[in-house]
Amino acid sequence: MSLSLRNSKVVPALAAAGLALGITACGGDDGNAVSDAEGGGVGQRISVVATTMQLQDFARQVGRDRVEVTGILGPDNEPHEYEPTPSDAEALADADVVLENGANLDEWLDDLLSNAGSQAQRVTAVEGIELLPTEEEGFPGDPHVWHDPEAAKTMVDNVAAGLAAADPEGRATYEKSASAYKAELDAMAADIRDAFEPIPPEQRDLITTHDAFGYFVRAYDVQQVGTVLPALTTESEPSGRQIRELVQEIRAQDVDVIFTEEAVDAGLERQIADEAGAEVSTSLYADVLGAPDSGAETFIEAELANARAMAAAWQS
Amino acid sequence: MSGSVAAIAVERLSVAFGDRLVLEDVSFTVSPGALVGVLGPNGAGKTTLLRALLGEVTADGRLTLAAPVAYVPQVSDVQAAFPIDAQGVVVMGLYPRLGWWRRPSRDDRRRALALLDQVGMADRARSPFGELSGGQRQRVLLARALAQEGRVMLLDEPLSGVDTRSRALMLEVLRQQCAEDRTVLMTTHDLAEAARVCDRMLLLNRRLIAAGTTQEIFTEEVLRRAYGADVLMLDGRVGALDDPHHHTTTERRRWNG
Amino acid sequence: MEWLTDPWSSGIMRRAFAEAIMMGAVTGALGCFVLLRGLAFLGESVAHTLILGVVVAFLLGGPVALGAVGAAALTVALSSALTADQRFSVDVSMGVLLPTFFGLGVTLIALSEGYRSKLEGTLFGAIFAVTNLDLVLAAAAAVLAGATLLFAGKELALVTFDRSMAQAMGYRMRLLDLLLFGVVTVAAVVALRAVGNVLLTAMLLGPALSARLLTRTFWPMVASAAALGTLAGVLGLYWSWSSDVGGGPAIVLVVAGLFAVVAGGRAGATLVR
Repeated sequence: MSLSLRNSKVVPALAAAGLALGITACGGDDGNAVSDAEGGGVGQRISVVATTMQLQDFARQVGRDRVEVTGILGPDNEPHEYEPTPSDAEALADADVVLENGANLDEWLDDLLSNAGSQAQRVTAVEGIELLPTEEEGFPGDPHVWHDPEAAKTMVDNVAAGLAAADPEGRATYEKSASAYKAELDAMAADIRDAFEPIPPEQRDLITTHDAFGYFVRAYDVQQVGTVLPALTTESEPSGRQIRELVQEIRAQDVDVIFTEEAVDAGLERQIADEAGAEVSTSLYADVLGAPDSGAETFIEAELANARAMAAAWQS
Repeated sequence: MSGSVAAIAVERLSVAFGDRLVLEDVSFTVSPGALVGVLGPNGAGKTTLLRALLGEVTADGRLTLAAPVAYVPQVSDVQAAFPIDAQGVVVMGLYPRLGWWRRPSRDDRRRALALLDQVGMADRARSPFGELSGGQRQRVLLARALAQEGRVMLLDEPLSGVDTRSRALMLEVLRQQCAEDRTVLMTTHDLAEAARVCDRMLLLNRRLIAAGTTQEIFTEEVLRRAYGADVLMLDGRVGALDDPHHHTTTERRRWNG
Repeated sequence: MEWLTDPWSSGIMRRAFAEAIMMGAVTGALGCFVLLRGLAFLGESVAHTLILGVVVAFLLGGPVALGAVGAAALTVALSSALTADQRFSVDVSMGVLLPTFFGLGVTLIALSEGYRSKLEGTLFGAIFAVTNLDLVLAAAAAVLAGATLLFAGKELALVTFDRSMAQAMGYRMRLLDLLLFGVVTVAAVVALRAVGNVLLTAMLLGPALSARLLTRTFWPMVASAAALGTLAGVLGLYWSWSSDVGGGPAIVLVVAGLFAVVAGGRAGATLVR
């Protein structure tokens, strides 16, 4: 049979890409890049671009008023699914330091950096941290290291080292801030353990949207009963069997609460909760931090918010 | 020409595509029962004239046709890969009369079969349209137009690329239509056939160059006005070479005789 | 026979089955029109045009399906305006408009930060996240498609087969185009929920292609395509229930498998003769 099938994939794709990029680039829009305001302070600030919100926070905590931090990801951007914009490339082009998480969480950064022709000091935050192993394709290990307070401290050290490399004069400041911040992280970890104390570890049942809390459960002695999306990344879909097994597990272990996550749609969680007789609880900050005025804009605030939500769910 | 109302009346018809004038100031009338051929070189506006008569293109001027109007498009305009058999095609001619919601009945299908018989295609009623030859498809489209029971029938190049048998059958049907006082207007490249078959001819090249009988049209002077240099004189007879690359060899160099 | 009835004990699966059955039937049937019209690109580009309508609806806080149909209507209106010049055919104007709409949609996505994660209808669909509201919408789409085919099915077939004839008969091309495009868009919105943007084209074209090989005339083809679409939906979900393959991908793989079987059967039959 003869059909005049038009193979128009290429032309519309190119047209669309060209149109979208053209308009966006000319729009003068900042895209997702959020910059700190230029303030007072002596001398020139160095320009730091950080991918994840956690790294953005670490950079501010360590860099203080010696740095101007521009972030790529915001509270609505899932790191696994993020598609960079031309304004991101612009921001990178002028950066002195680029902070990336690593372990393929933000693998889209590679292309962006080469396109931007960046000369910046590049810091991979997970360097020196032993990753939880995984068989999942596309990941050398579990990238969600920041949820382990000890790993977070290593990340902070890496950030400080990177800033110092780009700005040797500030080395003393960076090391001092890093120390202070690490002490805060210790305090945070202690608070979380205290919050979990009243609940026996076997009853600390965690079901989340995706497998982002591997390090958290190890650090704080929590049971990861399962995840809705059976992967380290949110770009996945569970099969019928995986859903069936999760529902069975929830019923078998008598789990009351499924936790959703910020920046991820929660439709499937609700369905599974209904089916299994559980409830859907407040959102956790799995891959992102909170929006302005959410009370969870900093890393420590977000981790504490998570812990409170979990403790409340386990105790009810 | 009888004194009755014209079946087709065209007054100062002009059609433009963008800023290009495709038909300019065309006027003619056709009486009921006439078999008219529309001739002219490629790009003369023959198909556009048909489309204007069908109301498919916007035009300046006045157009009057006796309703209903039946139509036989070019076979090449039709999607031959569509899964439909000959009978199904003819039934389509009944759709406007059936209206929305209604499905064709057994009577409708019987009527379609009878019309196929008229064009000699009854034995191929269940054949997929796409498996028919060019001439056979043209006959099926004609049968479909018959189903429309038009007072006027418009045909777009019905004879081009059609085998001899199909051509003869179709012309027989068209003559029968005219005998029943219906009016037939067809565009054609085939000058010889037009001369043999048509009562009147319209010679078109954006403007109406001439309108009349064979004798009136087939002079060197008139043909030259339409076809320009592509006029051939042979043995005192005149023919026109119209786009020699485009047509089959059987159609080239046909002339009066 | 436990394995047959097991999935039906799960509410999630029951809803998924219902969605897949309705979607399969609707996309199968309407896909016949898309396929035969030679506008195979229509199926693909409809999904892209939808993006524009969906994003606009999302930004304005309105129902997504309405935005999609609105985008479809706009496309047909603009196409009509272009073809009014009489220099452009419908195919050409559509070929120009649909990528343009796609580009606009992508641009809006780039400019509106919250779209990507918050909006349903991801790359591969979320058939297990289907709610009762989704089922109501799917049922409405099925009713709409059925009514359209009952009301104007033969006319739409005529337009697909012989557009010049349809016009000559006096049918309003603009309205019929809008009707077909609108109904296909609605079907696409439903399919989007089940199998996602990337696989939507497969649902529109796969069963129709298989049906084309199995049938001789048009309405049997439509019925076969609907049946094949439904079958693929049910088999795909059974497969997903007992494996690690996601719902949407499983259904589409079955569609492809059915086509392979049909095509292979035909080829084998020809060889044997």
